[in-house]
Amino acid sequence: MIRLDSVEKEYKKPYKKVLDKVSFEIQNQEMVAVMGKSGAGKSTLLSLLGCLEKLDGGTYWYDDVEVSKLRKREMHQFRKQHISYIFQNFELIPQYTVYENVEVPLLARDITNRKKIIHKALEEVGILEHRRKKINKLSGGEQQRCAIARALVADTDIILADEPTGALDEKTADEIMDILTGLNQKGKSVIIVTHDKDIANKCHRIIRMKDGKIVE
Amino acid sequence: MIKKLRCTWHIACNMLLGKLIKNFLLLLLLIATCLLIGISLLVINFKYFDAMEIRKLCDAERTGRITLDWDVDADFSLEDAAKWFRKVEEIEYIEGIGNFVDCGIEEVDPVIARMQEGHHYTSLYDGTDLIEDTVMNRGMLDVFDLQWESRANAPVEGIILGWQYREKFQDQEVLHCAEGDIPILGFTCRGSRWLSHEVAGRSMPEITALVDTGYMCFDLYDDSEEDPSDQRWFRLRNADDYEKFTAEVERLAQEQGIMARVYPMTEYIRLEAERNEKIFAELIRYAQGAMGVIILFLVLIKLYSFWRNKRQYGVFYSSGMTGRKIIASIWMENCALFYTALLIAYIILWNSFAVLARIGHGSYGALEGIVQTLLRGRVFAEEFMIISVCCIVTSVIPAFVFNRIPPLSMVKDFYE
Repeated sequence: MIRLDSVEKEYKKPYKKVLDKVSFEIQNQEMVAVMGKSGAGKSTLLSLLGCLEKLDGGTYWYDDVEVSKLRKREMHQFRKQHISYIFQNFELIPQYTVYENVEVPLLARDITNRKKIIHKALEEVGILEHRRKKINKLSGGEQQRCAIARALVADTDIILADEPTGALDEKTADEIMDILTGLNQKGKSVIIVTHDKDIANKCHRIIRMKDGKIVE
Repeated sequence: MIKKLRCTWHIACNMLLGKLIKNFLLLLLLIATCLLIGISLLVINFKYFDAMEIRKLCDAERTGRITLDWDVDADFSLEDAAKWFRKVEEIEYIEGIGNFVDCGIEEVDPVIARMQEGHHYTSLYDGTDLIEDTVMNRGMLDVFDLQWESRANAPVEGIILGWQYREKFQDQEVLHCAEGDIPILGFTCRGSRWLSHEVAGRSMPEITALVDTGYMCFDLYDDSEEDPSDQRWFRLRNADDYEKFTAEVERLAQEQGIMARVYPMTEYIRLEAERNEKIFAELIRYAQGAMGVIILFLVLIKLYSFWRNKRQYGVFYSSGMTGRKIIASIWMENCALFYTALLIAYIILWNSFAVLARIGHGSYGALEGIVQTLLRGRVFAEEFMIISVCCIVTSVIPAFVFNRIPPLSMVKDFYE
């Protein structure tokens, strides 16, 4: 279970309070959408959950581990073990092939028998046949699938997706959501930041944000 | 630990290949840079005439040199000089004289031999048709071809091989080379050391270098021939006899109507150092400046490359890689790139100078010294050190940057 208690985050230059005493809980294997207008603090919230940014106030718990109090190395370890991140613009490495992009989290975890794991993940997202292609040869949907496969291979229990369908057409967006829903059904907690109501409605719960606060 | 290293190395290779595929010019640029550093170091090396090595290889107090000079109109030639040196050889204080020191030749009568550092050259004597030929040292035989075409009139008399070759060649009478056979006359004593001799004849620049006798070959002159040179190395039985020896030499010179200068190894070292300094001072200044600029350029390229690719590192980080691992992979990438470039540059340098030295005819003495320096591996060792420092610097600075910039900012601008 993920629990945030009165979490705060501010940026110094220029000064802006991005998150203002945000508190909520996410149960295991829950699929949650975080909605709000631009500037609401959704992506910041996601990056805090993903331990890519530090809290300026409040606490962040994962089960009985106080993540916000972890030291740098422990936080890395936590992130490696529990968190996978999917970016809006896929954030794949253009010089690498599909295979090499998906390989990255496995290399981060010093896993040597990577081939089987990568093939399985690529098959699951439906792009195994493209594994040798360079990223720029893929469509938007295929690139996002690659990004999801990259998150998959890490085998973490939490997947954070920042506007995973933002750059995609409706049909492709539905396909991507089906994959994410499938992952959730397999036991992973999925937290999706989105503007799209249709996407949000496919989740178990919606958290609405406005001006750095939870409104619903 | 092995798994970690393997995975980090894999990351480094992927990064490196990705950049090379994207920009092959980068590799060429780095190779060219390493090559330029190597050349600069070679030039700078000339400044540091290795006095310590000379002292190590010979007993400087007992060793010295005699050079002759005479009026060009005088009835005296290099052949006469050779005969004159025979008289000097009979002076009681002498242990050995000639163009080598330490008479460590076992099987062969210690006939005066000319020893070369191993580079090829020819020398021309005014009024004589003697062509002096160098025999390659064994190490050089592996590198160069024998210069038979320029030595047609003066075939090699024979070879004395270094003692390390005894086991391999002791049952052979000749050394078979691509261009012909060279008679093996004998082997040097185990552990013997030699001072080389430079080009004889007044018109050629002087080079002296010290070599290990492990793989030396010599031209050998038999009893009927003399080494036509206006200088000799000598070795005294006793350092205290120096003054008496000098007086005796001067007396013999006066009798002959020529001028003989005797000077000890210590003075020789000083003169050689001054000479090197004079010849190369300007060049060394340029080389040092060039090297500084090149190294700075190299470091800037790598740092720029890191900055351009920081998004990639942000992706690595968000995929679970620690900052430490990313920096380790950057360091490995730098090492792979720089050391490969260094190796390629060294191969190019070696072969280029081999070709240049092979040209041989009237070769410039400094060029011969370059080959010697390369052989000794000194330049390579110094350049390896410089490149290692570059690798560290180009890894430490990204580490510093990495700690300052939030990883997510590396991936994208992150203000909502």
